[in-house]
Amino acid sequence: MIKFIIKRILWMIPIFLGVLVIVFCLSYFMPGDPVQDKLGSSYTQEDYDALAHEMGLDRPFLVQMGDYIWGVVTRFDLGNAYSSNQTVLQMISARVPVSLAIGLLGTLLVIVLGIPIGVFSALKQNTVADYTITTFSIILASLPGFWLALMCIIVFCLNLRWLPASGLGSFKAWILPVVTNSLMSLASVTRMTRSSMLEVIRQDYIWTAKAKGLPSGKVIFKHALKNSLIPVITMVGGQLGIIVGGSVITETIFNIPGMGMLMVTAINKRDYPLILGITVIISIFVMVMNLLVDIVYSLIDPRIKSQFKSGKKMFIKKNDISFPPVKGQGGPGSGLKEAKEA
Amino acid sequence: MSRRRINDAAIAALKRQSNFADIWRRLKKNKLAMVGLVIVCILVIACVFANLIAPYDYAAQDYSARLQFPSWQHLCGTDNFGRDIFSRILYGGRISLLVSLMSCVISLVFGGLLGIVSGYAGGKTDNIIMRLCDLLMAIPATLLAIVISATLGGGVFQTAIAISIGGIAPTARLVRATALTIRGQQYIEAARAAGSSQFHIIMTHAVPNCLAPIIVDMSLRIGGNIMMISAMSFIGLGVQPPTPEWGQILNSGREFIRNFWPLCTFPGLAIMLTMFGFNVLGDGLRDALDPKLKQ
Repeated sequence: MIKFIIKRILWMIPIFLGVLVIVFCLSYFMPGDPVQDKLGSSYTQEDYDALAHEMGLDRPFLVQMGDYIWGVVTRFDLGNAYSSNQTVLQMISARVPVSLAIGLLGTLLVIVLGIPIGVFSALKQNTVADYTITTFSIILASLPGFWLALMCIIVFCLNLRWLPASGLGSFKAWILPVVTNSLMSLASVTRMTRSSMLEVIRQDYIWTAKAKGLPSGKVIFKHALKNSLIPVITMVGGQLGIIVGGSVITETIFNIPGMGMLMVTAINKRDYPLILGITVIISIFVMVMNLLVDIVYSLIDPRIKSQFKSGKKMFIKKNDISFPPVKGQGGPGSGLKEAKEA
Repeated sequence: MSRRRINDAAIAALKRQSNFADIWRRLKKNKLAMVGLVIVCILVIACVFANLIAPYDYAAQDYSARLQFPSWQHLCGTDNFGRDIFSRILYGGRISLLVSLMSCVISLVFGGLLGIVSGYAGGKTDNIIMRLCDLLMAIPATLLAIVISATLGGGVFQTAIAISIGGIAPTARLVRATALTIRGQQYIEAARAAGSSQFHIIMTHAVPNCLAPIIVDMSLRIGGNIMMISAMSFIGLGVQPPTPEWGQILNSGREFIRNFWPLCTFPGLAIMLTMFGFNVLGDGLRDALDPKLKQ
């Protein structure tokens, strides 16, 4: 187990370096000239060269990239922002807690609400409650967060005046950003939990457990839930990126001073080090969260641990989707079994 | 004699099974999927023939009729320049659907190629490609699209590329996983034993069986991409004005959110309806292509 976690952490290092390279290349080729932006309209060639030299922009591409990566890796130095006199790290660190809180609260909401509702819906299959939940989750799963945010502002802030429309001054102000940002993920996780649970409670071992005379609560929580959660956890991991990415837009709508809003400002001001820095920080956040998901994953599913022990697979292929039609019977071109029965 | 008849029945059943008609029959049974299909069809028709359906030109300004609430004259009202919102949504849908489709195709071509190479080559090639995919997936897709879009600048084609990059890695993984499962199937072995050429096996056995998950993935991806396109133009990236686009119309409505709700509401409704249509259709297709999943 510990070996697995260590290897998993070590694997993050090349990924992190790769992310740095990709993002640096992208920001290097962004349009516009930061030196010119800084100098304004009237300047001499000497001024230009001097400033370019000072900012280190006259060096070759690879040197700049190497220097940047070296700085990040050894000193965690994300460079200086163009649009202000602060370093990128200073600018971001003031904003991290807010974005982190919104992301984590959203994820928490998804787990705490999504999974129980999904389980409930599955256990009450084909009842009014189930139909209501399923309908709502289908609709909510196709509701873009930023539009939902605008609609909520119109209804709850402007007409009913229950909640504030911007800022994070009070507890009430947190409700809309967190909820609108994660509702889509919540709906997806609910649907996933439901279908996964439905699949599991039809398995033979559930019948066996029931036949042994176990109380149904024990059957559900001890046998069914654990197994049905495996695909759900994979999905929660995937939703993390969506929640964090979506917060960029949510923060602009609700005027929340988080990293997302900083990102939009940075793009408008062409502040490349800042764009780079924010992307790097958010990627680290997502990577760490994914690490946690993988650890939870291996705790719940003992097969992953044993798979690791046998040395066949170094990492969990949690995103590998094996699609049922090609695996067994059914699907186009493989209806032999059904044909025989017919 | 009776044995012969059973065989005939089996062959007929086999033919029927492998036919698209069977998939269509199963899809037709799924009411929700049909609703999705109808929504998608209506949307596509409405957007393709926007120039015939739209009551006004999307750029025609009428300063005497600014910020009007919905009426029979202007179904969704007018915006701050007096332009008909309904017409703008129809024309905007063209862009949204086009960009979404384009980015899906780009993701599919590159992701599919990487996935197939990865799945069939195996070994080191597979490892390298999959680790590259891990890398691309470490950056959240929305963020990646935003950064790429900032690099490439605005425009229809640029936006399509920006959005497609995030879709390459998941598609490659999906295609690889499918290719791997198919590679070990008995019918492939049987075809090989019967002396079929590699090309014939890939074209007649591997590709049709690979298609199912890809079709489902694509139909879900189109909906997701439409949201991402709108999200990007909502924060000022992506497709630039004066080209109408749903996210952009929404964004222009934010200014007037206090007194004028239609400008923020209808484009979002269009996004939601499109996403709903594609999501439901995708789910329905998944069930129709895989009868085993059906409960």
